[in-house]
Amino acid sequence: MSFIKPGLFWLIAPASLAIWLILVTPTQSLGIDTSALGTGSLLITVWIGFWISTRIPAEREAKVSPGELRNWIALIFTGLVAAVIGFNVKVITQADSLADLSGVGRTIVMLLIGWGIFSSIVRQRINAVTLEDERDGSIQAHADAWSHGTLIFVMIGLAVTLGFSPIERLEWVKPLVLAHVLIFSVVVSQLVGHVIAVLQYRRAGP
Amino acid sequence: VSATPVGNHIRRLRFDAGEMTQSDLAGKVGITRQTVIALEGGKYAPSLELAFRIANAFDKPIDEVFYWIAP
Repeated sequence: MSFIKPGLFWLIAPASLAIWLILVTPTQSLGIDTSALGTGSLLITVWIGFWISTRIPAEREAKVSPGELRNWIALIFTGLVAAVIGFNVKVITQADSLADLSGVGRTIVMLLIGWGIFSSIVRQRINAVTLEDERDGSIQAHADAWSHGTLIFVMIGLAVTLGFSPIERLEWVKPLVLAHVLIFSVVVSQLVGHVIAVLQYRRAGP
Repeated sequence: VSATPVGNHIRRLRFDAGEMTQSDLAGKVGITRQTVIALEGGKYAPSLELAFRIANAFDKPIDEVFYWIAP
């Protein structure tokens, strides 16, 4: 454990710096694309963390099933996408055209591409005969039900807000903002699904 | 899936079957090793099909592998 803890610091520190670059700093700083730098740094850090985890003794590694690992990765990346949208609410509400949102869009697209690449690499590196079984299926079905319920709840909330609010309180409603609210709703519903899945794996785990 | 009224003797049967590993059993019945761990820990109730496959892997009738725990 005394070896692992300093090791974890050297993963958490660059990951925190990368997340700070993605979320807090402006998308361009001193001519440098900080979103790309942050996303790249995060992917490298996550990859190093995964590589190190494959070097840890087998019984420790095997506590996480391929299905749980997939949901953890999805949870991290979906959470990051939600955070990117959340941290850029001001930029989104003040945008007049899509061009004003190119920085936010680029960051989200890079995170999604990174998620796809990382998931693919992890799937190839997992040394297991069975990657998914009926337990994964039942957990996924439960998580999907939560995700679906959340999306319905948010959609009804949005419909009620738009339908019953006085017009003067709906000045924020512009097509571009509404589009982002809808995207954010999908992201949040997926995030809830991944949280539920991870909790289920932890409860039913070793 | 956190608690189940279906108990099992999988751990003992693995021992009796020449100390079969969790990975070996998982491979035989087509599940992950973590599901074997969850089954042995009483944290997951298998489907009827999986229960039969596990019993078959030990060459035992299903009621010698799984039993009902009265709530």
